[in-house]
Order: sequence, then C-alpha cells, then structure tokens
Amino acid sequence: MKRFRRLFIANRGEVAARIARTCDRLAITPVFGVSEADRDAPYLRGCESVLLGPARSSESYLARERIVQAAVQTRCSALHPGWGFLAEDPLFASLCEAHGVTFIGPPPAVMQKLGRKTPAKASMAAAGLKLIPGSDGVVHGVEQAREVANAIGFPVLLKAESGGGGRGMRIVRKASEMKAAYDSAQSESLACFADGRLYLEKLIEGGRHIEIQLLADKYGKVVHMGERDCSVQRNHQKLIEESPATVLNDAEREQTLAAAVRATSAIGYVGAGTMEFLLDEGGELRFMEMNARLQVEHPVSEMRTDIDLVEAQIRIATGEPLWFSQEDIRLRGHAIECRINAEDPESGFAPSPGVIDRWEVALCGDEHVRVDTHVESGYEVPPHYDSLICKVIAWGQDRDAACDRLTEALQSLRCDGISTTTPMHLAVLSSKEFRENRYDTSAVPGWES
Amino acid sequence: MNEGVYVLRVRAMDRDGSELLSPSVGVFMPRVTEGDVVASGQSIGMIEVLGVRRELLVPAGVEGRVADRIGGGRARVAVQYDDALLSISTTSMVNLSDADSSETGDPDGALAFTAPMSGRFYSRPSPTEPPFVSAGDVVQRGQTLGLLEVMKTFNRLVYQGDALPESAQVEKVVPNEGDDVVRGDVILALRSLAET
Repeated sequence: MKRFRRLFIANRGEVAARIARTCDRLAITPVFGVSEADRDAPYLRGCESVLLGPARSSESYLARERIVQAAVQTRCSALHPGWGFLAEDPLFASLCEAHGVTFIGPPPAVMQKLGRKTPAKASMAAAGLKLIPGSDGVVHGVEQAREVANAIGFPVLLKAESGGGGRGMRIVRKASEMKAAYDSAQSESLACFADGRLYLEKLIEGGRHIEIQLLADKYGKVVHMGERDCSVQRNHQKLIEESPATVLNDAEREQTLAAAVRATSAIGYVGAGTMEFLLDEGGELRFMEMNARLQVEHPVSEMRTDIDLVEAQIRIATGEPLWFSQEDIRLRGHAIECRINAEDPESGFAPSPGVIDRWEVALCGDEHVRVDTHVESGYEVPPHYDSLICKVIAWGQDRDAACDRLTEALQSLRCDGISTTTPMHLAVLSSKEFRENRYDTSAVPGWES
Repeated sequence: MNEGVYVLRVRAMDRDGSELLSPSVGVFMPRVTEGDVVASGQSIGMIEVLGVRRELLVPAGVEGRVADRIGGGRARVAVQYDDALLSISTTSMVNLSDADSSETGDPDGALAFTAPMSGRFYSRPSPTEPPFVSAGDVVQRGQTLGLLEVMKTFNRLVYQGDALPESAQVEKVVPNEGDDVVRGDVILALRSLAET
C-alpha cells in the first residue's frame, strides 16, 4: 500500500488548518497552496506554502492548472480539496490524477454524477430513497419553469443544477415572480458554479434539514456515522448543526440510514460523503442531494464517534480497506456546533471583514469542547472569501448538556475589531424554541432578523 | 503547447531598479541572462503551467540591464506567484503611478461616491441587463448604483451619505465590471446639479 509523505492543501482558512492538523498527526507534511491575500495568514507559520496567484479566486483557489502545477512542483503525491472552491469539481479531480497526484475524494465520474443534481436524484430514487416532487431534470427557460411550477403547485424552489451551499437558490411563490427569481438565480449560479442551469422542486416550508454522514472504501464497504440536524439556517446557510436529530422518530432514522448506505454503495461512492434530506410534516425524510466532500459540520459526527474523518479520507485514498465495521461505530451522547462568521447579526448579517484586534477563547482544557479556527489576534479577515472564521463544537451526555457546555464556551469567546455571529448563537442556544425543538429552516429560533 | 502571453508586473525597488514578477506558480524557462539588456515588449522567457507555456513580456516603461535572475544559471526554475524572476537595473523608466494623477485637480462641483467596504464591483444586476446607472444619469438618494460582492454575497450600493446632495449627475462609473475595489475607492464621479 502506498503512503502519502507530502499532501497538498488546495484550500484556505479554517478547513486548510483543519486538514493540516490531521496531516501532522499522521506524519504527513502538508503544503499549502495560497493566494496573495492569505500569504501572511497565521496558519501558514512554520509550514510549507506556495503562492498560486492573486487574491481573486479564479486566479488562485479556483485555478485548476496552477494548483496541480503547484502540487507537482512541491512533490506532493496527494491533494485534499477541503470544501467549496474545487472540492466537487470532477475536472479538477481528473487533472490531479492525470498528473500523478491522488485526489482525496470520490472518483471523478461519481462526482460528476452527483454534481449534476438531477441525475443524482434519479439514482437515489432507484436505490429506494424518497424524493421531493419537482422538475424532471433541468428546466429550459422561464416558460418551462412556470409550467412545471403550475403542475406541482406554488410555492416552488429554483435550485442550481451544479449548486451547493444555498447559492443560486430562489423561492418563487407565484407565476409573476418567476422571471425575476429565475434571472437572479441564474446569474448567481453562473458566478458561483460557472453553470447557469436550474431545476425546480416543490418548496417544503417548515421542514427540518437532516443529513447523513457516510464513509465508503474502494472495495464497496460503506458505513454511516449517524445523522445531523442542520435546521438552524438563514437564507439556506447553516448556522448550527447537531447530532443526533432528536426530532426524528427511530423507525424513520433506521430505515433511512440503511437506505443511504445501500444507495452509497450502489453509485460506487468512495470516501466521505453526506446525503442531505428534508424532514417533511409527515415525518418522512426526502432526499435533496449528496455532497461529495467533507462538510463544514463534520466535527459534530467526529465528536460522537471519535473517528477523524480527514484521517479516514486520507487512508481510504491510499487504498486501505475500512478498518472498522458499522457495529464498531458507537454513536455516543449529543454533539452540537456553532459557525462563527464575520458578519453582523444586528444589521442583517452584513459582512464584517477587517482586522481582529483581539481574539481569545478560554477553554479551561475541556476535552468535550473543540474549537476549529485559523484566526488569532491581529489576523485580518480578507473581503475576498467566505465569512467563516471559527467553529465551536461541544459534546454532552444529552442535548441540554451539550447546549449548556457550548453556551459556556461561546461566552468565553472574545473577538474585538469585527462583528461576529456569536451574540446570535447565544440567543438561539438560550431560546425556548430551540431548546424545545420547536423551529424549522424558515426562521432562526430566538433571533429576530 | 504555447498559448498566449503574460505581460509581467513590476515592483519598483529602492535604487534605480525594479523587479519583474512571476504571474503564476509554475516553471520559469528564462531566455535572458545576467547582463542582457531588456526592453518593453520583449520576451524574457516562458512560464509553464501544467504543460502549457506562455511568453513573459516586459511591460511598458521598463528598460534596463538584467542584474539578477532567479534560480542562477538553471534552465528550468520552479517559481511561485509574485517571485521576482529578474532584477532590472533601470536606465530609464516611466513612473507607472503617473496615470493616477489625472484624478486630482477636480473642478468645482465635483463629488464622489466611494466604496463603503472592500469587494468586487458590478454595475449591473445580471450580465444580460443594463447597468444600474451610466454617465449622464441623475441619481437620487436611496437609488441603487451597483452591486458589491463581499464574502460571496451581493450587496447593493445605495446612493446615500452626509457629504452628498439629494441628487447628483453621474460623470463616470470609475471601476470596470468585476474590478476589485477597496474601501474608499471612488465608484462614481459625480457632479452636483446646483453647480451646473
């Protein structure tokens, strides 16, 4: 079996620092590919890095050829794409493989299938998962979108065929709104994913967002690491994630976990992946999409299982068979994560880039609290990229214990100089709606915005 | 494969010198050596990125003798973005910042709407639609002037601010479509209506 000695990190910020931590533990040398905007970032200190290009992503973190060239010339035999940027780009994965760099992720063909949302839905239905009613494939123009919407009934959700992360998505409540929604969804999709194609689904309002963490090796063995509830969202952007999803009934959970494992195996998936579902009013989980990458919220599952997902990704990529079975995975207690973004929740979550004058987290050595971040005092949050600066994750015997511990950790967090979403998280965690689980994806519980 | 060219960026150095900077990560294959004289428009070699080679051209206003070359005498040098490929001892050089001086000396009645934060500027709601405002338009308080993409979200630039009058005429939209602007950069050059 091969072993990676040098691994190229084709990403930035929090996820880049996260991948490097596991590399260090596995005695692999990480090499960071960075843009000019990140060249002095603190997480690069004492590490090998190579400057790809200017701040603009299209000439750095999205520049496929530059990244693969950089991996080759720094003698890396593997590349981890993180999330966002090129993480789910089959062309990039193929380019890596063509130049002798192992891409840490699923095979390009599988990624291609999943990246196009409508063929992915068809495969999942065939494997026994329930779907949300919608267009049969992509829609061709505003007129067809109106026709499909009339047939399934308003309101509907326009979604990007190559999308993810809530970008290129628009709610349409009546036929007259379709043109404006279609145009703006299309231009956002083009800007974010270089693909303006859209498809359409019935909008299920008041649903909960549930997802399943999966791991597959190259030999067809698949396990799940339980589900996560990511229903605290604003404009389809996840803010808080937790596991288990206590709103889910046991029968639906068991049945969907089993079907998800079957479907993962059926499509020939390899590596870490996540299936996203919407829990409808009838208590049924309806498949939305499968993300062929590590997710931002993966630490929630790591805290419950003690499995390092980045380590699993790397070992699977070397060709190692999964070294544990489903029965070996013990899903313990409750874990919950808050995403700290450089945004001002008091003024409509306006972006808040700038210099962090003072950054402090007092953890008191609590092994049940984890802080994933790339920032420190003096760090300047650049305006070019997304606003995630930190994640705080807490574990407890049950949901209340985990929430209490997370609250305590957040109260110790100090960030001067820029606005962050921490006050909003504290309000949510102490709200009755959140604690009693009476909320859905349409509004942030305990926070007026 | 040989596809296209890069015009090199210049970093001015302290004493009569400048550096020509790598436009990308890649392998630099120099065509000039220490002591050679290089001038604007000349190729100093190529950069290869995943097998694709591009010529590297000396930009306008640079002329001088190569004082130093990255990688010593090697024919292929792995470089990163912004590495100094050549140090040029300048014999004559146009000041590249001259272009900026045309902005000064504004006549009476000149106003400016500046970027409230750093980001990427867009003048139109979508690529197929007309711009929010064009030169000659009169803008009113509260009107949308453009979009600023900050941290992957699109923010409306709204005509407002204590220093600006209720309405004004647009002289010029300063940034190009998709340009990166920093906080304080002029987005619109404006003229107050009272003065005209």
